[in-house]
Amino acid sequence: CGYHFAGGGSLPAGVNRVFITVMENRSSETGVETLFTNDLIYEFTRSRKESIAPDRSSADGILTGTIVRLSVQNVSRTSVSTAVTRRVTGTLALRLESPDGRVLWSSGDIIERQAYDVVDGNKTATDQNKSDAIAVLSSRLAESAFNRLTDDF
Amino acid sequence: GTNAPNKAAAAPEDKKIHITADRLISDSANNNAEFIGNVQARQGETRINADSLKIFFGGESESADASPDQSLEKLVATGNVEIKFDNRLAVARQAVYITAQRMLTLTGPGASVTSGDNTITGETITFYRNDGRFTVEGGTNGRVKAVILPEESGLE
Amino acid sequence: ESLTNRFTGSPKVPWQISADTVDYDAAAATYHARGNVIIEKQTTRLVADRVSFNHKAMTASAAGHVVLTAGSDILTGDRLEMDLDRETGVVNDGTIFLRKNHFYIRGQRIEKTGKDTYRAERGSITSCDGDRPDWVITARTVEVTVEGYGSATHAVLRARDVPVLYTPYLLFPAKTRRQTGLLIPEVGYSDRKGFSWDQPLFWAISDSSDATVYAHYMEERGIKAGLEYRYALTNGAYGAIMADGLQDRKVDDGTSEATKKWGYDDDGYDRPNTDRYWLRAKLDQELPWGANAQLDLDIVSDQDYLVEFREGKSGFNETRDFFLETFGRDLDTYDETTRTNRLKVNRTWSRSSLNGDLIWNDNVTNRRWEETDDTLQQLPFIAFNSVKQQAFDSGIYWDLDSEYTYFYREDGDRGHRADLYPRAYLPLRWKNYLSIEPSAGWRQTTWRMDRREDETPDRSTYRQIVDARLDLSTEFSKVMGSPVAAVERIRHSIRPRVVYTYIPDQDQSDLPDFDTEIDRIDEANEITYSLTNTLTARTTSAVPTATPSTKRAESEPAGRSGDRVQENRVEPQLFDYSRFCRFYLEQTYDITAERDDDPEPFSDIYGELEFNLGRYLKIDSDASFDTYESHFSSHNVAAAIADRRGDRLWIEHRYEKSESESIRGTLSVRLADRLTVRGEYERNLLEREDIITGVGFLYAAQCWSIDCFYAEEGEDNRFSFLINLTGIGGFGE
Repeated sequence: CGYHFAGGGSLPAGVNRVFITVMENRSSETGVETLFTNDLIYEFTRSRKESIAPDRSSADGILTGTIVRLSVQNVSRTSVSTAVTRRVTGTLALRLESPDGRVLWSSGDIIERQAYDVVDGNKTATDQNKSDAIAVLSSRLAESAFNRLTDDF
Repeated sequence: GTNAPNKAAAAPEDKKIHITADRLISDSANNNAEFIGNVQARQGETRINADSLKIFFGGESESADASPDQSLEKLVATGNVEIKFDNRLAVARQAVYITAQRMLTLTGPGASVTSGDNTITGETITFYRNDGRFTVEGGTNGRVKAVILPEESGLE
Repeated sequence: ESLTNRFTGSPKVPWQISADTVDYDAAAATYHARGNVIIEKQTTRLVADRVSFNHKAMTASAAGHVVLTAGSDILTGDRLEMDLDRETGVVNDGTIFLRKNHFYIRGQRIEKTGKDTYRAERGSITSCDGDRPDWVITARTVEVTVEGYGSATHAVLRARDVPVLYTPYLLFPAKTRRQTGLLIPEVGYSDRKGFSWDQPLFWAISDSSDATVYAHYMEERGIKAGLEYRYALTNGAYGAIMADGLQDRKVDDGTSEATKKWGYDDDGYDRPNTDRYWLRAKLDQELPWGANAQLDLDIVSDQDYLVEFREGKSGFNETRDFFLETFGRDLDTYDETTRTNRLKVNRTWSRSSLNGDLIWNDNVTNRRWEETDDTLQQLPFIAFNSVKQQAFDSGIYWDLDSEYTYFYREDGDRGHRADLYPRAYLPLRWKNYLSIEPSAGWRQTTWRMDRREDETPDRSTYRQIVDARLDLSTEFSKVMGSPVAAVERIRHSIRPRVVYTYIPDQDQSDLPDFDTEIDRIDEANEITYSLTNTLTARTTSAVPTATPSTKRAESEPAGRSGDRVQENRVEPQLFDYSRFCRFYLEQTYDITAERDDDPEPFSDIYGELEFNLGRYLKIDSDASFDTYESHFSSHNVAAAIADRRGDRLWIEHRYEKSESESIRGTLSVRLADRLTVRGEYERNLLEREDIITGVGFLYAAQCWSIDCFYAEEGEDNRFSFLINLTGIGGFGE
């Protein structure tokens, strides 16, 4: 029927073994850089484990990125000053560089959104919902980034 | 043709004109002489190279001691003309020098005068040597082009 | 290099001259060029009918249709005297056109005082093309500085020769992009504020910082003063500090009338204070050893301030957009009454990152109206995380999350907590068919209470808990032709995934309970299965630039672009891949729930559908369906439709069973190429109440625009009116 098991595509610019470094985090969400990087590494270990270089010296490509922005907006309000649902929008930008720093490929802005509920009067609980939403966002961003990186049909 | 060194008259050294060429055709009836072929002429610091150089003398000047220069009325150099004078290099297809007015006219597309890094090119370049003026015309649709470096001595 | 060299470029670069005729006058050392004369060097080019050029003094005087182009500026006039070395000059009855910001400066006498600087006497400034500009600012003197700012003294703004505004001193962005002190106020009216006039008063700039003072007059409330200071020392050290203050003439003392007019009735607090203020700042500072620090301040006087002052130059929306654009960091939304203040230091290595935060959640209502404040603070929060990496060169991967926090409450429990959470992974693959990743984590957490309201929990407690996960996934795809001409190929990829998660049940009731994320680890014994469908389109990129996700097909002979392989070499092709559809389904089966008396082990089916057809149609939707009650627990749809003409409709409908249901949308329609009508609407469908209804128009002429908007939001009707002179003031593009 024409469907075949995908091999995980190939990396741009003939790169075979890529070293993935922790992303730069421009947002105010502390610590999400390792969450986002782990989700990206998961996409590699899932389908292209052999192209992960254990260290910088054995890699012919360095995959690095920037969490450009994590912004929050009210999406549903019950009144002017009471929001019940907010949405976090994540913007990620990946770069594949050669070991000597030349940019071989850049992803442009990858944007995903995820809504979460506001717990009235309990910021800690609302922030918990927000970090759960950011975790979902992170895995979707990693999936989109990996597809963009390896699309080659 | 052999090199026929011209019998220089006893004029003062910087006034003497030394000319070498492949051949010399002398037409004393019309008071002119034409050097043809790889012509090199030198007078003091001035040097002229050209394919041919025609010199016109004045009328029947009786005084024998009149140095050829005084009686020299006009020089016409044609073909790959290169003239070095007052630390400048002029290049043209044809150059006409009228001694009385000390006026030098260079013609031919791409005539140019270079001094140091400054050059100026045009259709016809006319030099007035007594006051250092010159005029460059671009010709019918040609343009005058000059490249001038600041603080250089320029092209005077 | 000497100043002049640096100033005019090295002397070695010659001037190129071309003309119909050139005379040279040796005595005056001057060339007289005539006939379409062009003199140029690097980015400076002088064109005129006649030019005399003195190569000793390096001066030129040009006459007749003089056009001097210096970089992106164009100086025109009848006569021009110019110093070619310093590239300065004077032109009479001239015009400067500053192309970067599309400004015309005309003057009886215009001086080019340097490479990029100008001075005009009795000049006029406008960004309108043509001889009869719609607006012009006449001034006694106009100057353009090297930083690209324009300043004018005794400036009069005239709309078609009618004087409208006078200011003794005006600064405008002649050649720089940096926003400047805006001459143009924002005028408006609203029930809550009365007539309002928001005017920047004072504005000072230096090359690395600028300060703006605002005055926002409100008929009903008084004058709000605003200060905004921004600096950028290097690209690693920059910041912005903003403060607003108002002695409010109106208070919400709790009576229903006052609350309706001067307060907001849904937050359960009055607003008796007249001191209204909002201090906010964001600073970035690069530190040695590759670390950098970020400061975020957000301190507001009361719970209503940000709702009240969302609009306007120093309002919440403007500030938030500026922070997001400049720092990439957002503010809490305007309705959040516990606002985050944070000092963060971060150091990132290639495989790990260290974060140290001081987080103060400023709970405004507690601080102002309550005696006690039990808001949870983290002073400090320190985290060291290592990303998933191979252990030696075995098949095992590991990662580590570790953190220490001192939880502080002004009133209530305080205590330390340290958490160490390493996890190990064994990613396996069975050829291309299946990816299997078992993983396990072992979390150790210890608490040490500093101050306790009562005896429990114990002074120091410890917990260790393991978790296990098995992640099975595969992916298969098919590449097919496309029904649409513009798209060459479409790939449909299907990704099934099954994840089993196990966390033992462990009694944690005697442990401190600061936050639920780590202090309470719920038991789990569930299987989550999901299916991801994605459709990606391949188009040949028209312009072979490195647009996002443009990929050069590899050039090795077995190039994937198959049919384009010539006999020996693939001529590299540039393809654009874009995902235009994603359909995701997920459900969880809870094994422990089987033994409940009324077992409901299946969770809702959760789905996401995303459509993305270029600029014209975007759909984002998700839903969760309760299989037992067989109805939707929630469904949300957002759609954006646009056309080539610039019309745009955006609608979002959100529904959560018996919780909330709302619809909101914006519509903008281009009635004519200069007139765009805008509408905005939001309604709380559950309580059948309009939240905002707004309509307005934007009329954009070539060099000015008018933006009017009328909105009814809650109890407030407001009308804002803004004239923007392109390039000078207002919220120009």
